[in-house]
Amino acid sequence: MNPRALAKLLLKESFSQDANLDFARVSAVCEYVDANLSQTKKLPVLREYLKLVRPELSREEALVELSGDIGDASFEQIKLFILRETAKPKLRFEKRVKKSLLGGVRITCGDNIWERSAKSSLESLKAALK
Amino acid sequence: MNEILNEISRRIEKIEGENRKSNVGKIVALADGVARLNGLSEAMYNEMISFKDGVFGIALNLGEDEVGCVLLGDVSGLNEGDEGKTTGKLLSVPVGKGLLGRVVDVLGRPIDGKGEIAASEYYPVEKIAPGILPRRAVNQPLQTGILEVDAMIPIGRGQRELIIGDRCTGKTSIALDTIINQARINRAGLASGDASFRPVYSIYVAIGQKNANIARTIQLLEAQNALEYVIIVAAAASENAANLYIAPYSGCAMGEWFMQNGMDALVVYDDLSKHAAAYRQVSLLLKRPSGREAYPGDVFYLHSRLLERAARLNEKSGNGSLTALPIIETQQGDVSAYIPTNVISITDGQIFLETDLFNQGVRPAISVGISVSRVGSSAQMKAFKKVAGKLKGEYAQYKELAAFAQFGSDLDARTKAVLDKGDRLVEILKQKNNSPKAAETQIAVLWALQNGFFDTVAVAKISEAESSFENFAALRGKETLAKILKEKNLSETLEAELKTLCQDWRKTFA
Repeated sequence: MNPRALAKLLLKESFSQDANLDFARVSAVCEYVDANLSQTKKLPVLREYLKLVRPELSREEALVELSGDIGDASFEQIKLFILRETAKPKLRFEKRVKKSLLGGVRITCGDNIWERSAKSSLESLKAALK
Repeated sequence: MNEILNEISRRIEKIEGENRKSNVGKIVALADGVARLNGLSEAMYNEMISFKDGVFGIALNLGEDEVGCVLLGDVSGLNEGDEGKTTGKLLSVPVGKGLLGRVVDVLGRPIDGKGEIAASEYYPVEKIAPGILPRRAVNQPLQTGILEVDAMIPIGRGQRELIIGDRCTGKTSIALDTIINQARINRAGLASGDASFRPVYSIYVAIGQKNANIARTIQLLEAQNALEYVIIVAAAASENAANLYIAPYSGCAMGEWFMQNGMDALVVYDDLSKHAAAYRQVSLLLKRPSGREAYPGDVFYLHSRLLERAARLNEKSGNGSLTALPIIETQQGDVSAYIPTNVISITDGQIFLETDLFNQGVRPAISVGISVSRVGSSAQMKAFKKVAGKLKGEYAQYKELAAFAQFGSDLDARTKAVLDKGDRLVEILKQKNNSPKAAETQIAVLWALQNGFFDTVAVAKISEAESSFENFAALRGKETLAKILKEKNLSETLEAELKTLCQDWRKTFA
């Protein structure tokens, strides 16, 4: 079996019941690779595994960028919005202040972005006027 | 009703404004007009992907963890790591009458310096061809103005007729003459005020041509007052392969608008050999498996889905039509190469041009023997059928006898007569570039030939005699010519009028 195919199989074994990556399972997978694969095969399989794990991890995390600080109640509302949009039961949230947004919010979860900021509106306007 | 529509539109805009979601990916590799991005898990096949600086791409390869994208426009500002966003839209181009008389790029943006194009409608570049139900058989002629084509290889509105031949044999000239003739007919028809008159609008798609050649084409169409009925879609050789790949589909979308709105349009793809080569380049860069001559496996579908969009629609579907004249360049006259055989099998016939004939001074250098129109005869005017029905057979017989006659000098009277008539026919069929003839004039000339009015003219003088007859008919036989065009058939009275006209002309031509 080629490293890519094996890494895919290992990835399937890395999820917990709630369809999120489980730290204990990932550790077990790494130990299995270390113990059972030949020296030449180990490295490519782990590299492929890392490639597959990275996007999965980014899907479990929501980065909320804001132009300024907001209250907890507003942040809770944003959290609810993301959970509804992504249809995920559990997400890790990270809040960051990004002044360059010039007002508004930008949420990144995996390769999905929700943006309602003055910066993006100005960029759309710029593109339309080109 | 407007209030209701406005209310719904307002709601849609509000929701869209509130929820500006986009799916993004990062460029992991960028080379030769092709970008590979990770992410973009929600990208659709053929979806437009937007990059910075107004650059757009089309998602052509949807992989498990990577999306292959061809880029349109100037990609020099893009770098590895830049973001690409899904737009939720298929690549679309502006359509409508506002484009007539303009030169546009593959995205429908003007490149002629005549200002913005006011287009109210956009059509997707890739569209499913009309199915079986809205179609009808070809029943209306599309006059090319080239005697040889209109008489022996007639084209109907909605037909796909391939123009094929080696380089520099006059392929583009045939297409341009057809466009010029449509403009001439349009002008006359619209001026006549005839309510039933249906103009034909033309779209010329230049694929991978030199900029100088495109400029020459524009100048020619302008000089012939044809540009006002033409849209030129230019994808020059200097542009990247993705632009060349998209160009015919853009032109087709512009033509489809006319067809869908009950009008007639003609689209010329000049040429599909370069289009196939551009697609091969894109496919190889996208790492798709290659097949014969390194073309990808779907190169047949590339052209079949394009040419199937040419159709004649029935009354229920608006009665519009889109005629396609694809051009293919052969190497050393080899019609059995991969792309020529593909396109020959897709189209409804082909006009084959021969280098030998061209070098002999036979222009247009059409090889009548292997040129064919599979559906056009049902659209041909009855008057044309009457005078040109046997022409192809006679021409073939002449060619066969001429080949044998060069080995011996003793010929019987019957053979000699066939050869004499054939020599005259060849001369009659010769036609200068950019001088399309009206259908009624063509019919009158062929009638005169079939009835022996050119028999006593020396072969070397046939061209002179032909133009003399045409001038005479335009001056003295105006009414007769108009009747031919109106009746579209040769009645006994009309034939008698033609006979008198020919006899009168014969007295003036020594």
